[in-house]
Amino acid sequence: MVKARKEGKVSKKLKQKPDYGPVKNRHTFRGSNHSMNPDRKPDAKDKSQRSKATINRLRMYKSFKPIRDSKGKILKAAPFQDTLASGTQARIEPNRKWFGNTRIIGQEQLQKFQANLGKVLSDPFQVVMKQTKLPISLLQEKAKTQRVHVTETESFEYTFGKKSLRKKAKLTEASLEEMSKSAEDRDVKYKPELDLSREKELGDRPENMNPLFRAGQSNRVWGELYKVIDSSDVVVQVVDARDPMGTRCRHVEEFLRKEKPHKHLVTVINKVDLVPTWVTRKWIGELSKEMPTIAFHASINNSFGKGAVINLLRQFAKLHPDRPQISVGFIGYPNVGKSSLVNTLRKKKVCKTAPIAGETKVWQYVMLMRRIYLIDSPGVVYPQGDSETQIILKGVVRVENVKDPENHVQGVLDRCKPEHLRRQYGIPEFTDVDDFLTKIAIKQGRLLKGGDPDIVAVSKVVLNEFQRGKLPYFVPPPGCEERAKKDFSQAPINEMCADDDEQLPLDAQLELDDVARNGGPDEDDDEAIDDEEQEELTEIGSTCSGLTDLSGISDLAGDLSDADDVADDDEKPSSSDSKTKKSKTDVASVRTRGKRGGKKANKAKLSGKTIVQAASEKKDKSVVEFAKPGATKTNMWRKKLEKRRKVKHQK
Amino acid sequence: MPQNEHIELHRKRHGRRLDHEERQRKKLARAAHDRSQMAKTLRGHKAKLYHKKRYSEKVEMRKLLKQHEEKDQKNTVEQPDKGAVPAYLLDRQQQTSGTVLSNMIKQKRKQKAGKFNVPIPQVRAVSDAEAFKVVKTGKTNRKGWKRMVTKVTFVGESFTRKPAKFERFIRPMGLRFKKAHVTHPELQTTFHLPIVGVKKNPSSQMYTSLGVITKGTILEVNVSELGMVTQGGKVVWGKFAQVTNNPENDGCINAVLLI
Repeated sequence: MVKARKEGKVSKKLKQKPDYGPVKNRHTFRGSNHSMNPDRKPDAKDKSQRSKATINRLRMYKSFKPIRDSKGKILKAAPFQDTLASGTQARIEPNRKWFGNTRIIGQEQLQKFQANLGKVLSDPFQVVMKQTKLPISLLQEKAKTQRVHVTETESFEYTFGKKSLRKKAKLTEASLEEMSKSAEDRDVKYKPELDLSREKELGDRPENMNPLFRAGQSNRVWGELYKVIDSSDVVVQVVDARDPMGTRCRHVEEFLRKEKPHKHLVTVINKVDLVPTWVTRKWIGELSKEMPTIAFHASINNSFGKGAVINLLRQFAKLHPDRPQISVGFIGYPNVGKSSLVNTLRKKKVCKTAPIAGETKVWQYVMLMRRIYLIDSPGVVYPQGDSETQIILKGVVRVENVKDPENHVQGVLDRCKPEHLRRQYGIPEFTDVDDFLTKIAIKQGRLLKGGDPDIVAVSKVVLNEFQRGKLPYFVPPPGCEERAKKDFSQAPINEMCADDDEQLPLDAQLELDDVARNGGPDEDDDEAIDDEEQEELTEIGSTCSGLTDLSGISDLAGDLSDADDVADDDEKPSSSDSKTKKSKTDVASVRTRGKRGGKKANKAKLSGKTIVQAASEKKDKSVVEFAKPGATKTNMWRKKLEKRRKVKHQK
Repeated sequence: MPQNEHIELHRKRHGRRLDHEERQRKKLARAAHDRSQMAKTLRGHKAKLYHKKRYSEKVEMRKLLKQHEEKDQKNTVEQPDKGAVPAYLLDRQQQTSGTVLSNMIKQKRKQKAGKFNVPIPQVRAVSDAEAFKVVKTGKTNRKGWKRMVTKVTFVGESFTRKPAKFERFIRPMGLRFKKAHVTHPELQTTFHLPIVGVKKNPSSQMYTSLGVITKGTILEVNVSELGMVTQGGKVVWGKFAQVTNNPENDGCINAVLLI
């Protein structure tokens, strides 16, 4: 009786359910509609609202601190900073899958794989999309026992001593006479210089280099470089058109080729407005043997090659559709124009720039399109035995920090032609460096007390102008030293016409090569059009399409201004007052000559780029506007100018 | 310090007794007599449990002895005809059908008994505070939401870091590894093999996805160097291995191949 009663009570208790009240909503701000609520209802009209992922990311930036009480004790740890109880164990469950084979390949597949992938890896224009699912190491099997270890196979004990197994030692000579002869021969071939075991006499040691000339070689700069390389899918190496081989980063190229073969390496030859066109073309041909190469002139309003660069980046973005974004890193020597290049692509001043080295100090992320990011980086220098003069003339260090600038001006005289120097500084013939500097000082009035010329100040001026491109100079491409002497300066009219005819087919060939290398022409164009249409929906897309249109206009405008510059240079380089009148007559002569005048102008472009004169450019532009009101070319120019204005208005 | 390690701490500070080894040897020699005495003395339920445990231990011992006897046997294998195997597979050993059958039977028995244990089934767990360090820069700590991984990681061939405004977990280049020292437990040899991927980190699934390698992690390694072939003639180039050391302290990854 007692047991039955107890059981009844227990069953009653079990049947009852506790009442917790209504179930509350999990999200505290589900109902609100503020801009940082990830669960707010999307507005159908407004399409510029933030997405849920963006809101969550923005909230992540703020919620990174631990929650503390009034006394500072941590109540809740910061995200990803939790601790576990002491003695907590982590376990791996027993499973049969741990002990099986995970990757198997058949013999036929292996043979096909070896044949095909070997070709693809050695082809510079093909890309292996996913390598981790293929046994690459089966391709790269090498001989691992290249050296024979004699002491392991025939040890000392087995040859000599009590346990010897052989009665006779192995000798290369059969008799005593041959042994003595070989000893004499080796004695004759001996050279003390090549003997690394001998102690070398302590002669004169070179003085420790000034830390100024180690610019671009510090741990901080190299740390920034490796960050940029690690974060980039495409690495763009920027070189100076005046000295492409001298401003190459071969060490970085080797690093990318060996350690990170999945990243794409591209070369951009910047400052092509400072060298003749044929020099640029030759260097492109030379560098394209190793990696894709593009000529570029970095200027926000008057650039060259921007369309080509943007198209190339779009192709890379299309090559990896699975990635949410493509990062493009810009690396290179100091003062080659990496930040200017980024500003040109953005059509806006987003990175700080300066005509001297070392303006960019940390890496900077810039958004070009929704899926393309640009990474700017400081210049890096790998020590390769350059002298101090070479380092200064490349623009690696700042001239005002050099203590003895007069000792490096000889390098400028070696590289530039005397007539260009005379024209630049308006001085008569000079004999040597001291005479050169003295005449400039007197001409410019840079005198110290007592009437002595200020050689140090004048040296700094010369080096600065060399670095900034005011003194025409370039390193000739391989095999073109003779041509450099001829085509550096102005050529006569007859020779110009002949050269013009010769160079036209070269242009066509290079264009065809570029099209073939960059990909299929027709299909890519169609896809590019589709991409442009899609991207126009967003603000960034519209900006990008504007950039693409502007590149064509800016190129043509540049060509026109260059032609005018050359016309002036041809007639009278000396007097500036009569330039205006002379240029008017030049335009008239161009009209009367017709086709020949056109050829002359076209030819004039090529050599005209050797010298950049800002003042004359401005004057020429105004002259052009006045002098060409009725010609058909002028109408085309005006139409394109109007297009440019429209685009600006759209912004 | 955990509360269960004061004995080890005392030994570390003050050393052992001078006759520690002798006492251990004598205790081991007396162990059989102690077991026999206990077997005779126990009564009732305790005796039943004790006898059951002892019987299981003896059975396991007999099985182990039989296994070792099996290994010493020599199998009669017919040599294949010359030219039947491609040139690049001549130096690779072929498994006999008898070995294959016995391996299959063993695996089935282990599967029934639940004995597919990895060499290190249980390790100390790694907490988030230990694996991730808060990135601090400047006065306002505006990068405080980022975490620097302080353990060894593997990132794979086609890895590229995310843009700075999306990247929360930074894996330093100096702590990335591509190869591991893998020991073959039966051959007693060690190879330097490339890592194909991180399969499982015992502490957390997030560590697995980030590629963090700690003690006890299961890696997938490229074993084409070992020259393993299946019974069907295919080449084996991927196998699992378990990490046996602490890579972030030692500067290298030591692992045991799971066979």
